[in-house]
Amino acid sequence: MQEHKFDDVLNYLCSGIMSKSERQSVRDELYDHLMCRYETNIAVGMSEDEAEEKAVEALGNKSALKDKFQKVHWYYPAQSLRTAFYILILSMTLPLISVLLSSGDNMYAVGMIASVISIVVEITALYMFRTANGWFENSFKIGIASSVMSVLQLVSEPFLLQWQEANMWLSFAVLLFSTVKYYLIYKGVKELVKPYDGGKTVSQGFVFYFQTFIFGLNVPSGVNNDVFSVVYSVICFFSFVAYMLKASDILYRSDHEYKIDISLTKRWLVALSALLIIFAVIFTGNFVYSKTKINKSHNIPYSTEDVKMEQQEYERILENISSYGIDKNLVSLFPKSEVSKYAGVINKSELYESARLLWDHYNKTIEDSEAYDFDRNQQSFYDYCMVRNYAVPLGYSDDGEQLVRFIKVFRVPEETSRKYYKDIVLFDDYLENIYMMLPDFKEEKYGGDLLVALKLEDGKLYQRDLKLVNGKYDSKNELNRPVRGFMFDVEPGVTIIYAATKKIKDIGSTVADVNFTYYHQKSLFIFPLRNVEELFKIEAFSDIPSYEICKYESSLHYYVMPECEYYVPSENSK
Amino acid sequence: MKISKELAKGSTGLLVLSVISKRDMYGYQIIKTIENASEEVFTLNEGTLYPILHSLEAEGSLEAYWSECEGRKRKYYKITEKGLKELSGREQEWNTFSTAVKKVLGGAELART
Repeated sequence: MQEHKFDDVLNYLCSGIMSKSERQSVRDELYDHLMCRYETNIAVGMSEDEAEEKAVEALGNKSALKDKFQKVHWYYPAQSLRTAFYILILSMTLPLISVLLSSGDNMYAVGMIASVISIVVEITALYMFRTANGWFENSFKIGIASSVMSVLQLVSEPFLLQWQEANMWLSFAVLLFSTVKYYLIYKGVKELVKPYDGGKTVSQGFVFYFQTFIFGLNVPSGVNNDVFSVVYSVICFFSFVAYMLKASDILYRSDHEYKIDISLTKRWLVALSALLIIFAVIFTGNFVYSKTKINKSHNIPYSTEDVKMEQQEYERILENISSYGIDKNLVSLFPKSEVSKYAGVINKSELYESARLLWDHYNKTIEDSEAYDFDRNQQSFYDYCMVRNYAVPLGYSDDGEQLVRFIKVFRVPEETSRKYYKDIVLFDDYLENIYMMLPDFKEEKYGGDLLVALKLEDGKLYQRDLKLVNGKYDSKNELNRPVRGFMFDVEPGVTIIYAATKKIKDIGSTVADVNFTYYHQKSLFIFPLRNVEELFKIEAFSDIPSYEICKYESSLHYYVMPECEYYVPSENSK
Repeated sequence: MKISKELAKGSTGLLVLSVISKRDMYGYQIIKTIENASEEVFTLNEGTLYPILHSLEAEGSLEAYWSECEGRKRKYYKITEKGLKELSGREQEWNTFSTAVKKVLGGAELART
C-alpha cells in the first residue's frame, strides 16, 4: 500500500529521465530511501500517514530535484549510447556521400573533403563502441587499418600515376579492409540488439546498406545510370538509416548494460587527433612530391638544326619573318625546317600599301594577350601564361589561294613563384580538322604544322613530350562528339609554339580561333588536377572552381593578301 | 549549529566520498553517517545527495551495485581508484582552505587585541 502511495512522487521525480532503465534504477533507489525514512518515522512513533508525509517532505523541493535528475542523467550511458549510434550511422553514410560527390563534375574537392570527414567520424564512432563487445573491438582495429590505407592511397596516388597496377592493388586492399570492417560492425551491432529482437532489425538494415552501395556506386561509374538505380539506392539508404535508428531505440529502451566509452572529452580528442594526423600526412606527401621529379615531363634534347640551310639565307628569312612583329629570339627557337617554310615571305615593308593597311586594320593585337570570356582576374592569367598570335603571308597555293602561316605562342613566365605540379595547357579542339594540329601533318606542300613545347635548362634547349588525349564532348548541345586534345605539362619558362598554314578561304578555322585551356593545379591533394580526359566532359566555358583556368579565345582574324584583290571585312566581323 | 547552504554546498562532494571510502554505503546510510559524524552540523537532504551520487557515478568516481534487503532493491556505492584520487585532491584542497581561513581569523584576532 505504501509503495502505491509513493508512486506519484516517484513518477514525478523520474519523469525527466529519458532512458527506461535509468528511470527504473532511480525509482528503485528513491523508493528504498523513502521506505527507510518511513520506517524510521514509524519507529519514533509517527502514524503511517504521518510517516509517509514526513518521508516525502524530507525530499525537499521536488521540482528542483526532478530537474537535477534530468540534467545528471542526460549524459548517462543510455543517452550516450544513442549519441554513439547516431555517430556510427553518420560514419557509415558519409563514405557513400563522398563517393557520389567525388564523381560529380566540379565536385571532386568537395568529395575529397567528405572522405576525410568520414574517416574522422568513423574512427570516433568505432572508438566509442570498442568496449561494447569483441566484434566492435576488432572493428576498431580494422577501422584504423582501413583508414590508414585510405589515407595512404590518397597520398600515394600522385606518385603512382605511372604505376597503375600498384594503384589498383592499393585500391583493392582498401576495399578488402573496408569490407571486413563493415562486416565486423554488422556483427557487433547485431550482438548488441539480438537479445531484444532476434537480430532481425540489424540484418534487414545491413541488407539495405549493401544494396545502397551496389546501386548507388553504379551511378558515378555510368553503369546502370538510370533513374531506377538512383531512386532505389536512395530508398535503400533511408531504409538503412531507419533500421539503424530502430536498433538504437531498441537498445535505448532496453535494460542493456552499456559498455561504451561515454567520455565526451576523449571523443573530441580522438576526432581532432585523427584530423590532424590526416592533414599532416597529406601535407607531407604534398611537400615530398613537390621536391621530386616524379611524373614531371621528360626533357628530350632539341635542336633547331634539323635541315641544312645557308646562314645567309637563314638570316634573310629571319629578317622577313621578324618584320611581322615576331621577336627574333622567338624565331630563333624555330627548327630550320620551319624557317624554310617562310622562304617566299616578303618583308612587310615591301607589301602593297593596301595590303599593309589591311594588315594594320586587323593586326591591332599583335601583342594579344587578351583573355576573352575569362571571368577571373586577368592578372592571375598573366601569372601563368602569355599568349601571342602572329600571322605571316606565305604567298599562294597551286590553285591560287592566298596562304597564311599562323603562329600561336604560349610563354609561361620564369619569374613566377608559384609551384607547378601538373599545370597543363590543353588544346581542346572541337573542330573537325583537329588532325591539322598534328606535327606530322602530311601535306608538306603547304608546310606541315609545328607543335612543340620548349624549355631552356642549364643552358640547353629541350622539348617536352606531347600527350594525345581522347575523350568525348558531352555538352548539352553536342552529345558524344569525339574530341581530341593535345596536352603539355608546363612549368615556369616553358614556351609552346604552334604554327600552321591555312588558306584564306579556310579562314574560319584560323589558329587564332584555336581554343586552349590552361589548368593550374592549386594543390596536389585537396584540389588536384586529375583525369585530364574527364576535362572534355566539361562544357566549353564552364567554371571549374577547383582550378584556376584561363580560357582564351580570340575573335580576331588575320587576313593578309599582298597581291590581287583583297577582301575588306566590315566592322561587325572584328 | 546550522551551517549556511553556501558553505555546506562546496564540501558535500568531499564528505560523500570520504564516508564511502571507509565502506560501501547506500544513500540513506550516507545521510545518517554524515549527520552522526558531524554531530548533526551537516544534514544532507535527498535533493542534494542523490544528484551528487549520480554525478560521481557518471564521472567514474563511484561504482554502484544492487543488493536485496528487506524485500526491496537497495543500491550501494563504493569508491573507485579514480574516486580515491579525487578524494585525496579534495582533502588537500580543503586543508589548504581551512588552514588559510584559520590564519586569517587568527590574524584578525590579533588585530582586535
